Amino acid sequence: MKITLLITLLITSMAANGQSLSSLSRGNKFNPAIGLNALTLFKNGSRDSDQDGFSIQELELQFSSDVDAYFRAEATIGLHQEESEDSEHSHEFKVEPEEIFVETISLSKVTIKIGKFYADFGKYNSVHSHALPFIYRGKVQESMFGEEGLAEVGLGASFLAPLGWFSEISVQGLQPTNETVFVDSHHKTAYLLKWKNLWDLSDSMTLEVGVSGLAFSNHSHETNVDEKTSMYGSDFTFKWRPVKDGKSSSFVWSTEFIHRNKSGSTNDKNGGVTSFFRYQMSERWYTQLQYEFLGIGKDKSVNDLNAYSALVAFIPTEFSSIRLQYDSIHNAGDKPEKKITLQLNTSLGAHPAHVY
Amino acid sequence: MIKYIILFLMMGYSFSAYSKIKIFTTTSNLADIVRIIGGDEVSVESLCKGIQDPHYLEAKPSYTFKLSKADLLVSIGLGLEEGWLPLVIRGSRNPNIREGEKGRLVASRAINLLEIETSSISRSQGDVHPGGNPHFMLSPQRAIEVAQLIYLKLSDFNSAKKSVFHQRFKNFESKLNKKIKEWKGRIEKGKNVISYHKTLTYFYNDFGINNVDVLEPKPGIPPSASHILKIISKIKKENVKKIVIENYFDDTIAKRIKKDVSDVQIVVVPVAVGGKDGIIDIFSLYEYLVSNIGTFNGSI
Repeated sequence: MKITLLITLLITSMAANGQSLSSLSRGNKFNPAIGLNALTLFKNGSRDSDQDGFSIQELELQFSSDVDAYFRAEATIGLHQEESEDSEHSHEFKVEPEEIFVETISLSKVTIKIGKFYADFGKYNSVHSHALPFIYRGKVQESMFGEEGLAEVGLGASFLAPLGWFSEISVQGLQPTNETVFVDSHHKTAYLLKWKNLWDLSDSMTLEVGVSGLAFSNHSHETNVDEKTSMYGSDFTFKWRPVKDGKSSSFVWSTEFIHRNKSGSTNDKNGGVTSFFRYQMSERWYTQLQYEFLGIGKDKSVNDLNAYSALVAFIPTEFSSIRLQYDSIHNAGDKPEKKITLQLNTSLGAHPAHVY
Repeated sequence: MIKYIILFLMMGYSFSAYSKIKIFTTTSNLADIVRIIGGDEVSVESLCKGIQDPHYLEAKPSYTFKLSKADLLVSIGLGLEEGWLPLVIRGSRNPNIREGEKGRLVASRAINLLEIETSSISRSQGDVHPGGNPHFMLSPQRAIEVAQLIYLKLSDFNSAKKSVFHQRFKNFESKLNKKIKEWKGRIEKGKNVISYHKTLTYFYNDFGINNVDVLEPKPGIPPSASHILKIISKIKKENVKKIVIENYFDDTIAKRIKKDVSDVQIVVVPVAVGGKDGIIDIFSLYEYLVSNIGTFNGSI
């Protein structure tokens, strides 16, 4: 609660400071673009019934601005309700810097990025909650990277390969803290490589294909064990939006495969695939279907998981959307979990363009 | 061996000295003006097709790839491309085309704009452009102002060809001024029309046509039933002769109105070069608009 109060005071003081500067000399043109995305939920499920009803799924406060002639900076502060088993604290808000990074704007051909940022692994790890294709982060994503995705402090460089199509290569060095991905060892660096390609099949169709890999290795002197994580993934996305009447019809088919092998003092090996379709029926209505399977190249002790999701979205403007989602999750041995969720997604202030 | 190296370097130099200025524009109307003024000295391509609404393009990585090779990017500004262009420019890793740099021209910066919002605004008013209406390329008069900006910008890139660019600009200005005079003679002034969006505001302003209302209740918001009833009443009351639909909008609502007001004419028009077969340049675009919007004889 103290943290929430502190953030509120900080924002208020920033606004007040901006005001005083504007009245002095330079106007408010140099203030960062500020946006707030609020995700409000109503959920009813066959499990965790104490979490049924209305809740704030997440608030994302975003700031972005050029720092000077050489850098721009972006910060996303996430506030979300704790899903704690301790009923006394289960509705408290947790504040977390999802991303705070600086990147170059003056270098030709290459972008260097430093700070805390979402790892550029696959198609959806780096997507913020308000822009996810479904209401919840996918089961495969959650199992591979944890509930909030893989975001670490580190350094990254990306550039366009000198080929005849869009081909982006991204290299990142990350300080490993995510316990789902890494065995606890903060003084070694994890390395990530991603290669993303996109082709225009025609003016209305694109095909995106990406491959990603992550490697981490550390010899623990305490346990005399080699702690290792290796991940690899591939994704492809087909998009169709006709040149004429492109505002009222479109289609997306996206599939992502991820495998993680964590070995050392704990062993954990699993992989999964997520595939979804999105069809735009009219200017403001969309429908989506998703299938996920978790259990590819897994340890024998781990159960398979199958998850099915269906979603209908009403998107009146780019600043608000209402989405209704039904999930059916089948984890071998357990009774299937079924839940229905209604989400209101609202965006206040600056709303930067979404990645294609 | 040295001879060959020198020859190779000289060839490289001569290629770069005579290579074309690689230009991308956000809209096809801007691209046509660049083509007219730049001639053989430039290669130009528009990111937005003539049939697409530039408000709603997506930040395609293929645009990023194109802009990574651009010498010059010409955009409209005023928030028209806000939903996609900043991301494309950032991804291009081409610092020369950022705003304020030599390789960037924001055409609205030097244009006499309409509908600049002076009162306080909020998003409850729809997709408003507080800096002014961004559809100024549909004003032939302002197209001349844009052509002058482009001639000056191209001269910065290739000062040896400044006189050539200047001559092409003077030819364009003279040809378009003659056409404007002719079009003004053909257009019936003071007639009332209704449009879908405020896309043709500058065209109406140039030629004295009254746009009494728009089918969108607010910019970017599709027509509602109550708003359409208000429009039908206005058509009858203010003797509106035409409903003009920009061809990237749905004309279903206009057809529905025609069922109630049979003597109103529905005109679906392109608003950009390439927006329809035969609209091959800015002159044919203006000619189409004048012929289909500006004349009312026999249209009732």
